[in-house]
Amino acid sequence: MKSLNSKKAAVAIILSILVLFLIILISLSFGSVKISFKETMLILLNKTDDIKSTHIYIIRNLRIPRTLCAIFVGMALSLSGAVFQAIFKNPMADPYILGISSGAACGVTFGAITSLINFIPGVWGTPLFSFLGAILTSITIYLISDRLKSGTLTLLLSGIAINFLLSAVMSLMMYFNRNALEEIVYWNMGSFAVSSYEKIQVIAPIIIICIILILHYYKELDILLVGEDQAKSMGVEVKKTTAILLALATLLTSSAVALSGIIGFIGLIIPHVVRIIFGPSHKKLLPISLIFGSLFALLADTFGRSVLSNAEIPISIITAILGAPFFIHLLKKQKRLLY
Amino acid sequence: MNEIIKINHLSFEYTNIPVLKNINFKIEKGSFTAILGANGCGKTTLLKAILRLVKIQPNTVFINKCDALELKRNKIAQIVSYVPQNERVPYHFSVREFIELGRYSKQTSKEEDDKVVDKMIKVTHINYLQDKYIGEISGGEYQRCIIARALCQEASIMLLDEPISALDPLHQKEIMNLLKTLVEKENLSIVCTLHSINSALDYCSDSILMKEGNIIYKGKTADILNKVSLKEAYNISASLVANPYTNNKHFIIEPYNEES
Repeated sequence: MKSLNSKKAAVAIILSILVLFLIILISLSFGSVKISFKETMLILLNKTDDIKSTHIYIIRNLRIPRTLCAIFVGMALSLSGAVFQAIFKNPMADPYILGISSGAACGVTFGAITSLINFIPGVWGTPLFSFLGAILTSITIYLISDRLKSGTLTLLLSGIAINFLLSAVMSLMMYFNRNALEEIVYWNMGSFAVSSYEKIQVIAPIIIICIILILHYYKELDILLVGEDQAKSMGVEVKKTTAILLALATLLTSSAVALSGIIGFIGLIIPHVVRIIFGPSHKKLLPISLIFGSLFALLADTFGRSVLSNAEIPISIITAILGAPFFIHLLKKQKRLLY
Repeated sequence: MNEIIKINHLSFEYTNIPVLKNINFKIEKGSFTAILGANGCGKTTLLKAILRLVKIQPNTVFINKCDALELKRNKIAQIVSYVPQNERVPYHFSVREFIELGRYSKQTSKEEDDKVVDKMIKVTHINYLQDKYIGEISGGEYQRCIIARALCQEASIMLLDEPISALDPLHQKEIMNLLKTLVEKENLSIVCTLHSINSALDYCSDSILMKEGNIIYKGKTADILNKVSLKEAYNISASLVANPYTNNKHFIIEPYNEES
């Protein structure tokens, strides 16, 4: 399968933005209380004269923050996945597999159990501890791979090892803090259920700034794929660029975790799908991953909360169930083209 | 003549094993220099030292009379371009996208970039590959693409690490002819490591012969490549023989050393 030429790619991008808007509308209407598209539209347009107040409340206070949360998390995870895959030159690198999501969740859990989080004013505690956990993990993985100097496979394996270690730490914290069980499970499984404007107000600007900064690095990301020596010889300050990108991608991952807990698969699968359809050039890959990432997160969340009438399926389960077969199908089809 | 690169008492060791020992030489504008020597003699490391890809000491490598350690990578890239050995790109860039990467250090407009990319695609004769993907093309074609990418840096000197060692004789000839044309018509200086002594003899104005991290001979290729120097560098018995039809001289390497 060849990637699309520029004209077809433009059409595909416009189409996917339209689909995103449609999914936003669907996601606002669907749920345990069904609200018609027309009503949803009217509430969005602020024409609420003949609409039940409960419906207005549900859309405004529950579903809009939840939808926004899904959009931001989808964007953050898919973009950080694209960045990790480029700097580690490995298609399997993603915030979840490298253990960076777990690091973030571990940080928050640690902060919550030790009550340290309460010392931070406002809603800043969660993102701060999330970032601390994630950046510590990132630095550890980077140092291990730098010390061992045996390529990206080592890096990936050290990520996987750290992921196991952090899972064990989480289990340990769970074991000794039965009263915090629910919270730990929440950070581990991921959910948009407790989305609030307050959280979004703090975290969305961080995500937006990281996205804008990362988008500026599309040329460097392309060149880094060719190889470290080549990138240096073409004029890229590799160490500095890698450090900046690693920090930004880690910040994105930790922001996503602070919003929703750990959600796997999005960071792995979205950049892949986009690469296969649109080619590997980051000029297209980064912005389109943002659209596709939010689309996927939103779709998974809507599906998860509307398929059962009385309960919600955690989003990680949905992303894995939707993602895994699709991913395997693509791998089979694209075996030669991926790497 | 203008010197572009000057190497001054350059030494380098890797895990306490000396790889380069007190290297001194100059590369002058418009020259086509071959770096020759047995496997592991330090040829590739020498190229990497010029590009600051390995750790060097101050005042050992000078690019356009400036200490390489004081130049930003971006600045070095505008003067020196690099064609590495055994490069394989993981992702499927189109050939054109791949070549465009070479424009990074120039930071010029898209129009200017397109103009240069078009020119370099033409110079390297790869117009027919433009819409293909890097993964679809042959080794020889890929080598041309890397050369085109390096040319897009519009640097005055190009370093190539064994550009022909993985190619068949026809493609070897094509690449060497292309490099010669670049020196003659595009005003480029070239330094390349080579395994083929005869290619150095055919194409390169100057040569550097290395052994165990030292330069043992340097000068005009025709002057320094002979039975004695080749014996010393490679421990081989080689005889310079003229083709009776064209009178071109080439080395014939004996299958066994004379003494054995």
